[in-house]
Amino acid sequence: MNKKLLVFSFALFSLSTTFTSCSSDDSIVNNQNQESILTVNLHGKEIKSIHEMDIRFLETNTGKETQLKMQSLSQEFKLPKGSYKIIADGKVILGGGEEMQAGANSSIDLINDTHNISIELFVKSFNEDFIIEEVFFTGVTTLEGKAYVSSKYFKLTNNTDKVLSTGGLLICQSEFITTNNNHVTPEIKESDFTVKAILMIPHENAKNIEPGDFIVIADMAANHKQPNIPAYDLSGADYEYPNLDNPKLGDVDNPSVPNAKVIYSTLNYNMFLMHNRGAESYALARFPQEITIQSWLAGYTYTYEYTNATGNVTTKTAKTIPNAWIIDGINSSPIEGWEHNALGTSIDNGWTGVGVLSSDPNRFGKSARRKVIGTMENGRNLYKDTNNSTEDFHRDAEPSLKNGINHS
Amino acid sequence: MLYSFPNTYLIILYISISKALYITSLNYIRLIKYSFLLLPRINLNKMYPQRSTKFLLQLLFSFLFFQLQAQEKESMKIQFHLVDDFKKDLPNVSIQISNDSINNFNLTNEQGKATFQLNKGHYQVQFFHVAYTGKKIQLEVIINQEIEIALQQENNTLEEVIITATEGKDLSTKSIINRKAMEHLQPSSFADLMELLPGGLAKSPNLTNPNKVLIREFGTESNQYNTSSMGVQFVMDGQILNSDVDMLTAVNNTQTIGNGNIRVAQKLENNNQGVDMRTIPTNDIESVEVIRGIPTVSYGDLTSGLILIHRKSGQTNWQGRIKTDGFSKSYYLGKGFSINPTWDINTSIDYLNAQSDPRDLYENYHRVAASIRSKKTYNHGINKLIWKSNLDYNINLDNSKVDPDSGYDKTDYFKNNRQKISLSNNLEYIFTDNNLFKNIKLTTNIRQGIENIDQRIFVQHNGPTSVSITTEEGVNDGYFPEISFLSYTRTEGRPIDINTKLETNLQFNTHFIQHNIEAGLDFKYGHNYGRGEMFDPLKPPSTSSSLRPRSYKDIPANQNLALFVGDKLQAKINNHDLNLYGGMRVSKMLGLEESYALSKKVFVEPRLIFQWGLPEITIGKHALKTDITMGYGELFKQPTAIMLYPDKIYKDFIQLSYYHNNPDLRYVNYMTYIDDVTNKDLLAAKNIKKEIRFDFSYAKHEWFITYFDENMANGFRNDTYFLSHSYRRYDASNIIDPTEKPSIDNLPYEERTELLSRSQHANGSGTHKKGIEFGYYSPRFSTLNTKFTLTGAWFKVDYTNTIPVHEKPNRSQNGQSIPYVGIYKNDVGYLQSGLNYNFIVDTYLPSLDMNISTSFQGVLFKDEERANREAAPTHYYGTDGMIQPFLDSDRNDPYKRWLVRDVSATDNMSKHYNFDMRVNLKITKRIYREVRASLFVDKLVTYYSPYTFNGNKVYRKDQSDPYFGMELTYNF
Repeated sequence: MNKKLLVFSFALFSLSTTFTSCSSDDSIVNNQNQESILTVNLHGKEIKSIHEMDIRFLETNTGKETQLKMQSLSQEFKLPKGSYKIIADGKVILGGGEEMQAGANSSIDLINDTHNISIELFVKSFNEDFIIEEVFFTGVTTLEGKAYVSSKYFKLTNNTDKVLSTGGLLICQSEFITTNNNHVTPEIKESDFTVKAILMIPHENAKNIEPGDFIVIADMAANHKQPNIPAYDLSGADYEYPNLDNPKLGDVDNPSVPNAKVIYSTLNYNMFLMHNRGAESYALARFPQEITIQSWLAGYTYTYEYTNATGNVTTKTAKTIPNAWIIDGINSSPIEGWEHNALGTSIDNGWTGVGVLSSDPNRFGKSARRKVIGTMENGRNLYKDTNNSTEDFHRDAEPSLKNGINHS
Repeated sequence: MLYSFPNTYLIILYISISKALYITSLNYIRLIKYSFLLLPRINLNKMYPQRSTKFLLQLLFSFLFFQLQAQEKESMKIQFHLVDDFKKDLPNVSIQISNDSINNFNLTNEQGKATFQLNKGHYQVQFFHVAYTGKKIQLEVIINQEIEIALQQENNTLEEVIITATEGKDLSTKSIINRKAMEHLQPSSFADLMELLPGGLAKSPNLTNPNKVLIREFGTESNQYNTSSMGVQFVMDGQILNSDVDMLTAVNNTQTIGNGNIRVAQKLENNNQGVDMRTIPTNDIESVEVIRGIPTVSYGDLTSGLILIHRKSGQTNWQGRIKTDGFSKSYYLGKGFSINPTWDINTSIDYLNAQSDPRDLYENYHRVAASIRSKKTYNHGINKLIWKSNLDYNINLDNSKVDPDSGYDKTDYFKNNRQKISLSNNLEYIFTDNNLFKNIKLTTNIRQGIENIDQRIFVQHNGPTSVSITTEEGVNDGYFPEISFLSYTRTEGRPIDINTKLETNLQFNTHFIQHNIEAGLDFKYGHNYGRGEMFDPLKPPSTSSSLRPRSYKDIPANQNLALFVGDKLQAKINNHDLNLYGGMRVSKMLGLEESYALSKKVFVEPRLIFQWGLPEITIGKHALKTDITMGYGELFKQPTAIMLYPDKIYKDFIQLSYYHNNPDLRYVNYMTYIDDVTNKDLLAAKNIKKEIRFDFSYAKHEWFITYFDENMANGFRNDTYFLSHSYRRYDASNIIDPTEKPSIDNLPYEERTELLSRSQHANGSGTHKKGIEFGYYSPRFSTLNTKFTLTGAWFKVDYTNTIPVHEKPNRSQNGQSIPYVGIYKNDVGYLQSGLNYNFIVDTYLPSLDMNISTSFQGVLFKDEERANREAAPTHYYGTDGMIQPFLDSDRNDPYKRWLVRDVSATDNMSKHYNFDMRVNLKITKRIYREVRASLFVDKLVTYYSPYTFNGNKVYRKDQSDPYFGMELTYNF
């Protein structure tokens, strides 16, 4: 994709220079060299074309501002000579066809008759809160061929341009699995998300996260790498959720990493276990101001039922999170076996996941990772979020924490 | 041409040798003749019918003698052709022909023919065959002639080939399965015979799982109702096969093998569910009696049924059998030797090799059974002492490992090796005069099991893990084991079972009543000397940390003493046959600590059976014979050793887990609770049987119909309730830059309480069986050579809990498990009623010596219902253990609301299955002399009619494919 874009930009660039040289010939006759011809070339990761773009040229000596519009990524402007600050702001079309806000800053001294400037456009985020950047739910297999269940994690990223607090974040796991659609009644997924378990980052252990930075919530914040286990070093995770309550699990607790709290689980002993084929959905939510854990527990139940092929009716009562509280969510499923999405279309209109076969032996050591759409102004990755995880995520990706946790 | 020279040469050589031999033999024969004449005349009538070596020699000699004589005098040629009722040639019929001057023998050949050269005159001819009624004729020899003689089979059961079970007509309702039926059925193990009981259906053999016995019931998927199968006693030649001290349990019974993640150890666990029928081979069995009704008081420590297995005894040819089908191969070789007329030795070896799937070489089952049985009769005046001594050796080996080419966990295996050595000595003294005592019988059996389960498991902890290995209750420091290691476990069981029974039968008359008294003493002793469950505590075979080794040796012996006396009164009044049996069995468990309720309890089992044989009523040409039998019996099954002495349960709670990034600072602290789950109130399970049976026979047509009601309200059950366990959760988050391991003494903590389940054996499972068993047996219609048999049963079986159940919602809220337990009236119960049928058409083609049978069997209808399960509990308790009624307002409590179980509209709705049918085909044919070939195809055709449930029409099809196999049997 990048290569294509490069070729395309190069073609545009060469086209515009040819055009510029033609017009230069014309201007010799008309201009008295008080003005300079500036060719602005906008470029940016994944940016294909411009939808609409305002470009302002601020002459720093006179304070005079010229506001113009750009129609293409490369355009020529006739400006009086001087020192300019250039600010571009508008909408661009990305390689995948999405329309995004983008902007750029630059400056130039126009002293010659012609100038070229190449300005990098930054796509502006449209998120308000954290997004799920990656879910690693498969675990790894040891060299002996056994499944290693731990070293799973959620990676959440601040995809906004402001500092966010992690306090009160809820990581919700769907009650329904995506590889089996029982056609439950009533169907409420367009308004509420039916949950199996919820992890909460306690307010007392809140952290402030810079734009573009991420947090890792690991099952156990430990170095899982062993000579025979190709798992990852998660000892630098931000939060962990070891299970100390189940007498049979014997999980361990890293004292330097605060624990996320399981505020709800359909299992005993506060167990929060990810489906190792990833046939479920995850959502990131926050309680509204007026809702506490207790008030949520008191309400928000949902009784559903379904009938199987032989006529047996199953009735169950579950807990829900209104879709309005959800700040991000993804549906996940192996390719074969997908039957439905557990999250409503307004949250995620697609589905991602790991593996082809429904119980794919090759799924281990792979994760679902969000695509990078551009770079933020601070140099960090900006992630794609079109509320369609089919488009926004890479399936079967290499886990980003394979070589440990690195925030740089 | 090249070969002609040697060929000619060989022929010449052959002729010269033959000539030489002929001349030599003539001289030899002459010599024998004269020596033979010196021998005293043998009284052949008294001669023992079985052919000892001596007998054979004599036969040979007399034959030779006869030949010689025939050459010397002019004589007539008499040929006998022996046939049976179906005009089939009868080989091996011995013919004795005699008059005042000669006494000759011959045996018929394969064509049923034997030839004699006789002088003109009058002779007596006797025909003798072990399976046929002998015949005596007078013969006047005048000319050469061929005489056809038809012999009839010995008795009614052998009168025709019966390939189904027959219904016993005694006091106890029972099915009798004979050798022929087994040959035709082609079983791999005893489990296959159960098809022949009323209500039984053919099942594809499942030899890689334990096969539990079901009598008069459908069975459930729940393991809470196993007392029914545990309460079926198997007695083989007087030896009880059930064991109450067999407690072999895999250390890690959740071990999974292979890609299918089959829990091998768990599925092979056979404790508390009775005899595993796949371990009993059938080749040595002569007949089986399955007593479905009320056994006499001579048998006890059983609730549901009694299976008496009688093995072959006496002289037989070498017998071989090779069987193969989709899942197994089996081989058998056996012979009965007659050392002398009073002493027989039977010996056999049987091997079976089965796989769970023909393509799966990695999960298999081997069975080897070898036996030597001796029967010696001593004559003591006119009385007899019969001493039967059996030595049996049995290995059952289950192996599971992973296919190294395709599987994961290449290291893992599971081996279940069960060997049994058994020695029985049964002495029976029979009084043949009109003594009061008919016999005295002492049955003794000692059986030693050598049982091991070996597991090798590559343990992969879920992640960094801690364990506690303490064996004492209280606060303790745990360990961080390696994350991956190989764990070896062994469970060693050495159960020894000793059964002795001394009994006598008496007979005397009072007025017109004949008394038949049985009385005796029965003692069962069982102890397990095994070292039990063994492993390295630091390398436990499971990622669940609450395992500890356990020894079986320390478990006290199980001892059960019983006395019994019963009387069968017989009288005939005006053509009414009246039989009344009344008996009482008194038993007690011995050697138990006084704290056990069982130690003070004496169990009394009265049993009463009345049979009324109505006078025959002549209808048309034949008489209708009717018998009515009514019975009442109480039966008890004592708990097994593992129920009385269950393993302790360890509960380890993490109080502090400090897994610092610096390994030197890591520390874990536990609070360990040890739960003793012994239920000292456990009592024997009691089954009350009531039944009435009608037997009719008319012109060789037989019918029976039995109504029964069996109620066992206190079957064994794993009863679960919840206990609070408190511990502290220390908070080490305030330690900054530690230089040493933390100590719990200085840390702040939070008190936590967890309700944990505790499961113990209790008398809380009810099994109530009712039903009607029926059967019709036609004679073999001579025109078609075909016999029709219809058997079936309607069963109504309710499996329900008879004590309330405790359930804790599986849910956690706000960082804790739901701290409430509900008490509910009903668990998932199973109420089943249905009618199974089995219609067998079997044709015997004498000209081909072939049996063909087709069985049409299936379910006529079946209703399945759950016990009415209510969603809400009646009561509940929290961590304080205070039981409180559950109120409607509790439904809105964020925590207590989960006590309301999910019960759907259809959960308590009954399901009605319609008719289905499976057609099975079986063929047995003699193909060459003593070689028989058999073939079977089960489920050749299947049909399952659709049924409607909750408005849905459900179409069914059988999941399993046709199942077929074949076998060859030899007699040589």
